[in-house]
Amino acid sequence: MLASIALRNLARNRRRTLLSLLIVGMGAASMLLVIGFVRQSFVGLGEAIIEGGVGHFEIAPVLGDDDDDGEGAIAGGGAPPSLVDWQEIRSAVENRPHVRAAGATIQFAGVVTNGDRSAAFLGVAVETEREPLMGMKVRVRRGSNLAATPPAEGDDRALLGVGLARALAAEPGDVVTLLVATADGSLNALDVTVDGVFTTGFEEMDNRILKTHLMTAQRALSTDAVTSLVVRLDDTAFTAAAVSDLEDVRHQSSQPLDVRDWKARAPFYGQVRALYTGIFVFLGIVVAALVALSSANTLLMSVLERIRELGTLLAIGTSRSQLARLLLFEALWLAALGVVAGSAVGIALVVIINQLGIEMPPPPAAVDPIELSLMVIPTDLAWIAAFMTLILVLAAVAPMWKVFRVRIVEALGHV
Amino acid sequence: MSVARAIKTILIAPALVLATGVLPAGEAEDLLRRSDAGVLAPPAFRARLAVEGQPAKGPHEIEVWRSGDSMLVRFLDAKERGKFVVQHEGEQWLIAPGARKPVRLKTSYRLYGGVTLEQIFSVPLERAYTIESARRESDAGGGLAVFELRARSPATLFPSARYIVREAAKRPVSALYRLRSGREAIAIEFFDWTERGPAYARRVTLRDLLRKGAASEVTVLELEEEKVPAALFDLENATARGALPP
Repeated sequence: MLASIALRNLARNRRRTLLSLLIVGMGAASMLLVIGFVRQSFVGLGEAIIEGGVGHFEIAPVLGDDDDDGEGAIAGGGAPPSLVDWQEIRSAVENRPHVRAAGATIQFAGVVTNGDRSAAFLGVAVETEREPLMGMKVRVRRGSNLAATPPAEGDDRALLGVGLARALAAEPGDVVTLLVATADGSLNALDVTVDGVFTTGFEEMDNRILKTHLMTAQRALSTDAVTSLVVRLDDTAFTAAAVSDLEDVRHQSSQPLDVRDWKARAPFYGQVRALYTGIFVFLGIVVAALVALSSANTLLMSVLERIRELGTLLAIGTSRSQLARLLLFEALWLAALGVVAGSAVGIALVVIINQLGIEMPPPPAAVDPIELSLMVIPTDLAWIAAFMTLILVLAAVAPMWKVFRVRIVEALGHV
Repeated sequence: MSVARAIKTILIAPALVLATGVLPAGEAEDLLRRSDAGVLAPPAFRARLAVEGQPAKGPHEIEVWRSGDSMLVRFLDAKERGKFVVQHEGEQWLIAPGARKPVRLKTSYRLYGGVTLEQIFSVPLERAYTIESARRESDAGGGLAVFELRARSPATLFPSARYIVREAAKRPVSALYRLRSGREAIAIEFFDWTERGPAYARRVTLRDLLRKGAASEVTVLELEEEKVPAALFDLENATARGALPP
């Protein structure tokens, strides 16, 4: 009954109600857009990191205290230690649910030279034949990707990061020499032909990264070992479950294993997430304050305009708590109608923006511009509705307080 | 302090004072020249060495051919076959089977772990360093001459060094090389000097003080004084190196 009267009250004061609905609706729509942008940024960045070679998680030996001295390492100079019985571990991991494929990698470092110029590099060696299975994407800028077959001896190939290629003035087809420290601590040199120039999406990494086939790195480092296994799942949502499901693999291994998910391996993601979360919280507070103040003002004005009416209702026996509930219902109606209208507008804007394909400048440290894309899921709407309802309830506190303090005689004489 | 210890100190202190003292300049230069590890080694020789230590583990065998300032290092481990380091005309080059051309190396290049070519067969000190000060000390083995050396060229990897020589035998005992900042970088100790034939320490230990004191040990398995063909140091032509006995 009170809810129905509250709705009729709102309908009676159309202009004021429209203004309130506009404020609530705009607040809801703007929150939807911000959430959509932040969500898409998180998901997009995460998937780009995973597809770029990080995978969903990595299995590697636990780094002991002595390993920074190269003890048990594949390469000298503090390289990561080697992963023993990696093929058995891979077989065990690939039989798990949701595991798409696992690929062996070697991380190494050294100096690459073309005779005239030299530059330090960070090497990542992968099984190129498994990359399609793992759904890994390589963003080749010039030349071509590494072949999906292991290179023959004397025909080793590499991809150079954009910045590294620039530093060496190297182009696809050029031959460069890798100078690396082997596990025995001696130096080795290996000629590789540059197949292509690629980007990781991150400028700092592009200045150092060099990618080769696993076999090329093993030849350069005089080893048949690998440093880790990178595992790709069929869905990122299963990462935590898949990592915790590896306890028996850890126990069966002859060496202590460390399993690190993609978030731990890409700290940049955490930094971006923290930055965007901070922005989102700040915007949320601003929107909440605007909506709360505007709505409180509107509701208070409606009380002040209707003071004689409220006095009359009190005089004929309506209780103060009934009047307070009436105002509360009016606030709830405003919240409900405003959220519905705002969400409709927000969803329409999301669809339009996604269709336009607007390009945004690259985020800090990134290379490529990003397409403005928004992602909204049903729970977002529920959270916005709950948030707006809370804000409107808080906004109704001041008018309700006024109702409890009004004197009937003064209210009846109010002009 | 006990009475016995005090008496011991009173008796030993004057002896130590007598045993220590500044070495006259002429005498110091002569002693350094005659005990210089870089000069003691024959001008041309072939040697087989075993290198062991962190992080190189090992032992790893290498063969060294030296003629004057030129040096060829051949790696003898099965995994390292076909690999050479050439030191020629002040530069170092790596020749590896996987690389078509020799790759220039920094002079600070280390063979295995903390071992550099210069540290195995020292560069003649009198050519690279001047004596800043020289003094006499003694230890249980007898009298020692302690040289504080300063590099002649500012480009020298270690601008200062301490070189300690057993005065009676005129053989070096240890060397300590410092960085430009004064930080101690490499400590070398020479053991078991030969008494006949070419003079060399059969065992040399090196501690890399910049890497938690990681120690390496070089053992000279054999050393023969012989003429070394110049073609071994030819970077363009590998024929002479390819003809070396296995």
